[in-house]
Amino acid sequence: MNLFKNKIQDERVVNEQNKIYREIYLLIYIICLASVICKFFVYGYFEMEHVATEMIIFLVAGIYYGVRASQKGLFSAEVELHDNKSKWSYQTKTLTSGIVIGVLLGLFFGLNSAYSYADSQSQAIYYFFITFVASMMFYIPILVLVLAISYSSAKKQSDKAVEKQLEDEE
Amino acid sequence: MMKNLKLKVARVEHDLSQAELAKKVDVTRQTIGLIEQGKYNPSLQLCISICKTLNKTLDDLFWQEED
Repeated sequence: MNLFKNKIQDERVVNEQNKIYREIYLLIYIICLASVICKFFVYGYFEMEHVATEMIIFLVAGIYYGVRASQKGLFSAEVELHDNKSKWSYQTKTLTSGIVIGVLLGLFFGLNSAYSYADSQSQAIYYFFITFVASMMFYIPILVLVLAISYSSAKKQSDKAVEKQLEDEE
Repeated sequence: MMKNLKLKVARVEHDLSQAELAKKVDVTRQTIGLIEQGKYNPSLQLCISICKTLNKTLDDLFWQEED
């Protein structure tokens, strides 16, 4: 007999516990984000080595959610609910977010380059624009491609999972 | 798990597809499909919402007689 196995479960308690786990996840996310911001101000520059742990937490958590949501068919449900209510489709929003992130990264690197390396105002403007444009040219296509591929593969896998769940229905 | 045929019949009586019923009660087609198959236990709130949409009572759709 297993003394540690308690099979009695109250659904209200389980639901409340799940809510707490959700809050804990958000808390960890906020702590990681605060840690990244603090390190940026403490060191005065952005170095990947300093924030590797935080980045791993962000990335692995995101990827894990994406994979599990696709396996359980939740991603298709998210897309369906979103597309029923919104004027813009989920896919359009995903691709647009890739462009927006690319522009923001371009701005960040452009400003960083202008502040860190320029000696005069005209040089700062020149450095800003050259880095801004180059960063956008590099990041936007990569981000859009990565997001488009991950969207379509997640959707495909999720649709398959839904089909399997409902297959003996009719 | 037992299939919920009463829900399926009531839905068909109203000439609604799973997707149409899902849209009316703000859930996905998958959720309605899983409820009909008896693979998902809906919350009381969702049950009431489905009943109101199909003009049925909770007993009509969700009470299952023991054999």
